[in-house]
Amino acid sequence: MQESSPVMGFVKKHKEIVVLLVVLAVVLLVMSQLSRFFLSFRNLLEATRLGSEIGIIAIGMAMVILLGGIDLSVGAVFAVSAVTMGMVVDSGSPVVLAMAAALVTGAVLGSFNGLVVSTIKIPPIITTLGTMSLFRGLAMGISRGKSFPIPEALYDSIGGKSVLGVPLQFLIFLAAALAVVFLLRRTTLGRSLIATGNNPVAAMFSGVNTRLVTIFAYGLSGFFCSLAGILFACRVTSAKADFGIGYEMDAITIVVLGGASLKGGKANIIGVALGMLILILTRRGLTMGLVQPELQTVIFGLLLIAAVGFNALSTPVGRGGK
Amino acid sequence: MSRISRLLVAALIVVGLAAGMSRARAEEYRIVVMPKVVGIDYFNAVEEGVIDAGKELEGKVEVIWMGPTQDQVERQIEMIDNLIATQPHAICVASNDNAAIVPILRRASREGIKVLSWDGDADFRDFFVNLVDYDEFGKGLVEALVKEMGPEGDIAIITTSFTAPNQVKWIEGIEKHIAAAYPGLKIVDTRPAGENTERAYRLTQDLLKSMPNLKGVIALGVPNVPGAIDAIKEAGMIGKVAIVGNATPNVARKYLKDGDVKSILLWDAPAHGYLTVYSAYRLLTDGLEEGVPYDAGRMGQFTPVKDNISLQVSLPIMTFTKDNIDDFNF
Repeated sequence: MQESSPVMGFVKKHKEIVVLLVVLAVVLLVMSQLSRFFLSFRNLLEATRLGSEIGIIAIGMAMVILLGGIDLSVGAVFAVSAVTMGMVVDSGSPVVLAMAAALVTGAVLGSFNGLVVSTIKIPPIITTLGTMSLFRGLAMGISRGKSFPIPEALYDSIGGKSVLGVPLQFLIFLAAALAVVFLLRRTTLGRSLIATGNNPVAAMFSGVNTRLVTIFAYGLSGFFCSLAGILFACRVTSAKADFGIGYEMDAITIVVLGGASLKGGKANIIGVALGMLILILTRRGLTMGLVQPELQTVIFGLLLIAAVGFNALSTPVGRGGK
Repeated sequence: MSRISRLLVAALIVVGLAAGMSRARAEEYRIVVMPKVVGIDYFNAVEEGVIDAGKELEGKVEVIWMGPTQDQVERQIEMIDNLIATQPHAICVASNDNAAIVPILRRASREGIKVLSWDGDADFRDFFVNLVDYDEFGKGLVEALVKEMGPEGDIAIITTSFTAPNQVKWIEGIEKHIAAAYPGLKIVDTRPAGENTERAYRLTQDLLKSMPNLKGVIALGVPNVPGAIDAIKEAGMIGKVAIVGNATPNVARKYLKDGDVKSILLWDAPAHGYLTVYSAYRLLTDGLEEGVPYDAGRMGQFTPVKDNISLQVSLPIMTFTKDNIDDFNF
């Protein structure tokens, strides 16, 4: 049969978002029953402070998943960046320099992933499984397991900062999401990303430098990890090599929840934003309702299967196989 | 339609699971106790003590036991952040990172919540329910050893590392007590085995070979104790070379029952949970002051001492022997 028209594509995308909005509404409804403190504007906003850090990582992850890849090293890059910032600050250098050093480090480590994936052609899951351990070791090595203090002033100006009641982290998340939406829709590079994700061979034959595109996507993921690492370090006013273990699972969960296919070719940034809210508000609500964490993981697993299953069932058979 | 009903079923499961949860009553103090991690023997044992104290203080206190499934400070921070919103009266945390936990505890404090640390300390807190006092523990180890080998002779220490805070301070305590009470005891070697049974085994073997006059070994670090005991046992030196150490009852049980070792020192894990709840309760009601004893139920009286952050109390030392070991399970 014919490929679906752009209009159909739009409707389909729209449908996913509607599903996520319904899930989000159900989450809000259920959680407000669990704890009488849950459904307040302040509480919901405050939740986004923590969620946005993982959300920022998830945006980068979405770029990598768009290419049919995966980045398991995000938590480790997060840690290397936080530690880099902590060490540079500790050495007496200006904070801005420390942040820049952290961002460059994250981008370089991410690009290294992209380089290995695109040049040596090691499958992304194996490459980043390796660098997950490599980068974590790097963080431990350069910091020698020590915790570096971050000035408390950075908690006031960044880590615990709100602008008109909105956590700064959430604003940065929104800015990052908008930037990526702009990148994908309005730039040649973004279109090359989508083309490579849809069909790398076809993209290559139509003149896209798929290797460079791959390095860029992983580099962007690394960059966003370090941005999240910086925000985290400012929130906890310290930096240590064991931060961010397991963050890759949160990030992948958000992206998948947001409607991406692990086969690649799809990126849904609005979905990522909604996925982040669903994840963080579910965890917050369940904790506020004093549901034990072991049970929380079970409930969240069910929620994920329900949301993704809904999308899978509503996708017409024969499409989406790519 | 079936899809929507599936979604509804999932939602109903969530509601159903939560239906059994108790709700706060206004007159009760709600005390959150957060371990480093949930789902391991040690903290399950602590939880028993927390529940016990909660039962004794029923009507006055509602205890909430909640901790992360991984021993990571970021999960604790998120959890505390979420729990602050439910306005508990006190949060007692066994922190996985003494520094990173500080900002969230400060925020809790600003919202009028009392913050306590236990087990893992925090650089900001109103009160600390410590493990055993370092000097007392060092003294206890020396006394247990002397009971077996007498007050004179060469001894060696197997430790975890020269930087691990607990072990460093215990060794200081050991040295202090030897200097004060047993001038005939001589520490001839101190070796780091990490937390590695196999390495502790090999290091102890080396000690036995290279030091024929060795009369006693102090093994520090729970995984190191079985290694050290095994080495002495295989060399046929049980009874000739005395050994003491710190280990959990479940690790030490077999060795105590077999008679390979006579006393193992630690603290009682459930008592830590129990004392933490009582301390939080006293802090909320009467307040805790330096040098003023307070009542902690069946554990008796405790007197807060000043430290460089705020106030603290320490747990009593618990000596496990073949006679009492079956009373403990952690």
